[in-house]
Amino acid sequence: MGLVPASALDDFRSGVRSWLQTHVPAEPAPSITRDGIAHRDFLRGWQRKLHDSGWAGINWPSAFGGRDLGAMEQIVWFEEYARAGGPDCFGLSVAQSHAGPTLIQAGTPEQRAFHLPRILSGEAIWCQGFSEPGAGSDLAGIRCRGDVEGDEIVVNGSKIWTSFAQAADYQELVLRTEPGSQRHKGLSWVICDMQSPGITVRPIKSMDGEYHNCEVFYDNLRIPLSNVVGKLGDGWRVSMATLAFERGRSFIGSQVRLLRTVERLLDFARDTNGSDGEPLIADPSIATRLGELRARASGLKSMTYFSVARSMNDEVPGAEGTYVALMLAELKQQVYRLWMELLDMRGLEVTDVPHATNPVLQYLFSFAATIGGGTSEVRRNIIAERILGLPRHDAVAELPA
Amino acid sequence: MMLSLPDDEQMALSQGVADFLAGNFPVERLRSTDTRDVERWDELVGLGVIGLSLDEDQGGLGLSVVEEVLVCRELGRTLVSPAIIGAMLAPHVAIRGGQDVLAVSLRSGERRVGLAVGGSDGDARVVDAADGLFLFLTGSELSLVEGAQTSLRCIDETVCLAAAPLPGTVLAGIDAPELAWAAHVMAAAMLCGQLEAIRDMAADYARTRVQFGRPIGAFQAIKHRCTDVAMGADMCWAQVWNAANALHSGAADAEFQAHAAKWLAGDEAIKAARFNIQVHGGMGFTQEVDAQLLLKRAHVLHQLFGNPRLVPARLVEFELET
Repeated sequence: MGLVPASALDDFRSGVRSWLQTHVPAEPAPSITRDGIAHRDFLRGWQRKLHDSGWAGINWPSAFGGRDLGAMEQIVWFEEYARAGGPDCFGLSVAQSHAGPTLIQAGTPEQRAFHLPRILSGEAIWCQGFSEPGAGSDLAGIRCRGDVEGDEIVVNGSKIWTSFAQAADYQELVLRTEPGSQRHKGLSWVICDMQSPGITVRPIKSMDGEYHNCEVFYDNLRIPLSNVVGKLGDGWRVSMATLAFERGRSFIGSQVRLLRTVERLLDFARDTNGSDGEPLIADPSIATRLGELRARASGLKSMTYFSVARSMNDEVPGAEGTYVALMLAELKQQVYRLWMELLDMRGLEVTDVPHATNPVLQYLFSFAATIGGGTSEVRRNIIAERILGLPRHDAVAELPA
Repeated sequence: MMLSLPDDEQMALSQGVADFLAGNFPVERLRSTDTRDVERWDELVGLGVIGLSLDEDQGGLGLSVVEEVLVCRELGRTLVSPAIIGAMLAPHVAIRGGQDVLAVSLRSGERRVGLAVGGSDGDARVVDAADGLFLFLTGSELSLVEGAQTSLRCIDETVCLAAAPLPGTVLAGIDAPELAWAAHVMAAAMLCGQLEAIRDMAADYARTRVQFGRPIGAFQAIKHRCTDVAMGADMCWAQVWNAANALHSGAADAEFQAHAAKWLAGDEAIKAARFNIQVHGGMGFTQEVDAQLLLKRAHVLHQLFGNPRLVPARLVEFELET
């Protein structure tokens, strides 16, 4: 594959840019409070706007109502979205990047017909239901039970770290439906209506003051068997299949946003004077650290694009696709750590600046980056074992005879 | 924005060079032979490495910096002398400086040229100048200089380091940013090859060395750092590839990308080389395994073309469109 001329995308880019300029909400997303209602209404409104103008499901197949954009157009979309300051909505991405693609891959015609349009229009907000108190990084340790009784599954147990469960309409619930099964076997992927009787949601206050996550309790919750996605007992495969659909492209948006954050930090260091009356950036030690971050952000961008180019070429993302998530999370923490340092005493104040652009709150929020979706340590284990072929932690050397 | 991968022809070129070097320039040569790489440039001329980016009517292959970084990655993997960058760029400098006869002898490998950068004492530091001639690079200026040199003892005993008072006799001098930044990405590409060699060496050892009843690579303290080396190698190569394509297409941010590539690759290679010594334990501290050599060579390459300690602060001065 040769170079793709940027000019071929210019028309597309200018269309995206002008649409975003007029439609990106002037006000950032409201805080995620205990009831989450204001945030949910914001998400619904924004997704509805995207949908009505034809920007919903940009990477979804057109047969399911998506735009089916190529990788290049997706990149342009994410670049322009970040440039325009489009809202960063995890509460939408569960449905858009995960639940929807899972239903497209493994759902029944009825499940698709009911849920996909509601996801695209923003009517339905989804949350995840994977982690449990005893199954965090070690997801295969799931214990939440789903006992099949007639044409229903009776659910008992709990889930934790379910983002935005306090205001979600549906949940991707992974249950152990075969009693006594171990690890990856005997799990099922089930659509859970969050309004059903038997569900209790306990929002958890995060260190940045927002209620990002919840603990969800199930007490004899009854879910129809027709809500199982894929086959009963095949939940692990259903969960994993979605990753292939994404091919790492969902990271493009976060990566471009991080690059913009580094540039904003540079602007801050140019525009802010230190106690010596000189701009912070005039301090060589500060300039050095900023330059290092800029170089690393550039390296991360190159790696992201290299990975996308590879996925366009042979459909198999290279190893660098696996590294992107890990590096993105750690670099994000470094960026906000430096920003916090440069704020000096002002770093102690929580101002009225909204969460999305508040460097102090983002610093606190950044601690989630290396934990959520698999800790950095687990990611490193996976890379070492699957890519470098290093032995598992419990490997035992064969003793000489 | 650019989105590209090496095409089939480029991969074939890269593989051909890799195969040749594995057979003819294996890393073991650096332990057993007194013949220095610079005395074997004729072999790399035959391969097309020297003259790769010269026009065909100049006796070259008419390729570009994009192919040069693919080749340099392989040269770095087997620790070919950094002076090869001088050998690859010198004919361009001679031609543009009006020294056509010199250019021909440089392209044929008859005249061998060392690679030089400024030292903090004002003298140039020259790597592997076999014939008293070196390519001196400062900022965006490149010059071919002849002059007296005083040998220094280099931490990397497999290269010759010398000090040369400046200005010396300048045979040709040009201001050519695109060539200067090409030198940066070529050095960065050599560091990438080296990073990949380090990655493979560390992981191989971690898989096979048994202590406490298991391969040491089973311990997270080891495997996580192996992962960091692999991640650094992939990031640096992606950045070098991006920078080379930016240079080739004349992108506005090419200079930034080249400097970022060079600094990142040097920084990551030194980190990786340090870990590789550590993972080899006692043997890593000896000259009986190559871990020490990989570290020393990484330091040599990291010092090329501008004080690496000062590079990051310069990177904030570029205006970038994001």
